[in-house]
Amino acid sequence: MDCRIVQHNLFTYRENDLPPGITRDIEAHISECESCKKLLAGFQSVETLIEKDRAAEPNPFIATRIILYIENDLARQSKKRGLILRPILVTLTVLGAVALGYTIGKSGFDRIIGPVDNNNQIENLKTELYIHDFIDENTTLIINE
Amino acid sequence: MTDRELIEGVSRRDKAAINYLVNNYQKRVIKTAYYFIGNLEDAEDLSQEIFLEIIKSIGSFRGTSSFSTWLYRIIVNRSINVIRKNKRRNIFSSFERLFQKSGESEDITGQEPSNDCEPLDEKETRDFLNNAISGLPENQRIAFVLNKYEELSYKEIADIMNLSVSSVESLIHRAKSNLQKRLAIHFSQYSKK
Repeated sequence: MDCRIVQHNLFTYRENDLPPGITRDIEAHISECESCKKLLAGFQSVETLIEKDRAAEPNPFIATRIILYIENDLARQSKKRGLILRPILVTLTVLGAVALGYTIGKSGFDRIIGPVDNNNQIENLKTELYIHDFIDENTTLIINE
Repeated sequence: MTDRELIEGVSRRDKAAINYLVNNYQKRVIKTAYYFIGNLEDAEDLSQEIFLEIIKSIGSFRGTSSFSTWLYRIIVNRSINVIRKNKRRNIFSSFERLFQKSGESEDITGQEPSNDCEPLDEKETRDFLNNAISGLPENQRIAFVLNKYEELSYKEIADIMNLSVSSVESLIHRAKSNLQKRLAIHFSQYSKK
């Protein structure tokens, strides 16, 4: 058997995925060929290493570290969001205060002189003009006495 | 806690849900990242970033795949990004070394700090394995690691990689074939020493 057949079938041979006939041939070849024996030993050392890696255990306290890291980052994020939102909130508060002041002022003004109606104003103005047209200043003085 | 409850809890930034997520998935996140990166401490550091990404992007999880598949995608993407970054850094440092001409600094930068305690043979095998796996094309590497280390089925890998099962089969076959070639070269050189 050619050594290359062993080289090309290392994974399938070790995973028992080869037909029984080929497996037997490979085993017979390996038992006689020194270089394939070494290759198989090398492959097995790689397999052992993979097994060792799979059995590796992370630091048992890592969860605490991860949770702390997450909490700190989320807190930093919300702080950053607060810094962005603060000027917006201040602007909105000032605008709200101005709007509130205007509304209160307007309602107080309406309560004293009645609601502002442009038509009424013109009407009043017209009435005043009519009175001044017919009554002169002297007559007014007599009436007052 | 079901996956649905976990997802809802985490998207509300509920502390209990976040604790549950970390405690139940930390091992998978760290170990998968470790299989890709090859260094446990780096994988632990990366796991913090991975969990943060899971929490921040949980809103984008639509439930079209399982939570586990979605989680694997994030782990794989993050790990691959780290490998790419390291590769770029290695290229940069090799250029630096090329121009430096100082033998001492070369010795320091060439060391693998995490594997110092391993026996020489094992260290050599590990270096070979890490180099061989990182030398594989990206898709082959992902499929091989998920299959050989994580022992995921072809169907699960196909879901994670958004590929068909036959494509995954082909990727794993090619990855094994490439690794066998490298193994043959490496151990034939090794036996000559």
